Amino acid sequence: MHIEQATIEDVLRDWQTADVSDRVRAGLRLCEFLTKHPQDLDTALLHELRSAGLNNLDIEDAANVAFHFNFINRLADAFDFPPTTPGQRRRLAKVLNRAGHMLGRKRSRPSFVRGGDGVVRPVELEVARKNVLTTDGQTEPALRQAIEAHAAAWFGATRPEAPVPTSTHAYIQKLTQWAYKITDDDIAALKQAGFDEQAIFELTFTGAFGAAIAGVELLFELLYGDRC
Amino acid sequence: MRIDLEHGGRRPWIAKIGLAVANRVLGFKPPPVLAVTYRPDLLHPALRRYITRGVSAHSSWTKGQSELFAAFVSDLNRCHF
Repeated sequence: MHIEQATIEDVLRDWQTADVSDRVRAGLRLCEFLTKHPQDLDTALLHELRSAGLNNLDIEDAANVAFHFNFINRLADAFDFPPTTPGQRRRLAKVLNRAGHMLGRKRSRPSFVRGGDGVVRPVELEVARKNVLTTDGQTEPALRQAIEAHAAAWFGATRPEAPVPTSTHAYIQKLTQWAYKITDDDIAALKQAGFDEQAIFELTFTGAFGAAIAGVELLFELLYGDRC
Repeated sequence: MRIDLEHGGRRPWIAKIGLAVANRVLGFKPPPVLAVTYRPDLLHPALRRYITRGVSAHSSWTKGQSELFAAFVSDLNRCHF
């Protein structure tokens, strides 16, 4: 179902007073937690979400959208995606929606798994994370593991944290906390430090992944931690 | 863009064809698609499955509600893309 542009603007002005249903406002509240302060997720919030009518699947699916955009927003800011016109955005949204409807699959059953490191995650993110951290690339897996850990730990996820090298520390800090502040100079500094474009892509992809997955992990521990 | 997402990377030929089709249909190559096809070895199919489910018919939110959450998260991140 389509949503009016006026509703979106209303929510962006003040989501707490916007004219939306209690269920949608609860979904927004969850997105706000996952994006800004996932370390504060607790059973009281879960109770609040359920009181507003959300079940576990609603919660999982709102978290899915939050993960997606917490990830892609960081790539957009780091790489400075060029702005699109409203017409381009409409056409793109139409195609992506169609693709989503064709390609989207039902969640696996169960939808969660406790990984080898003891953390509960959506099944797909467990597999994807392992791949991001271990696949052959321009950068050493150990560096990617340190970056993912650093970004995830910033948002309260449990990680045995390894030191992030000085050459990448400032960039990863910015990517994690204020990706919109990344400038050409930050990328130039990485190149100066010897990272080529593919290596920079790997660092960015990994940091964005770590920042986005942290909230989902904390949420899934609350939802399913006692079941696995 | 700060790195050449269009020509670099390890994009397989099938993704290059997909991008050419996207360019034909949309009139531009969407940056998010350039980013996620730049290094498909990093973007495991499981991650693709996960993120497409959020906007699929299998989501428990309507398409419009999912769009609202997406706009809200992007606004919180001060991302204007």
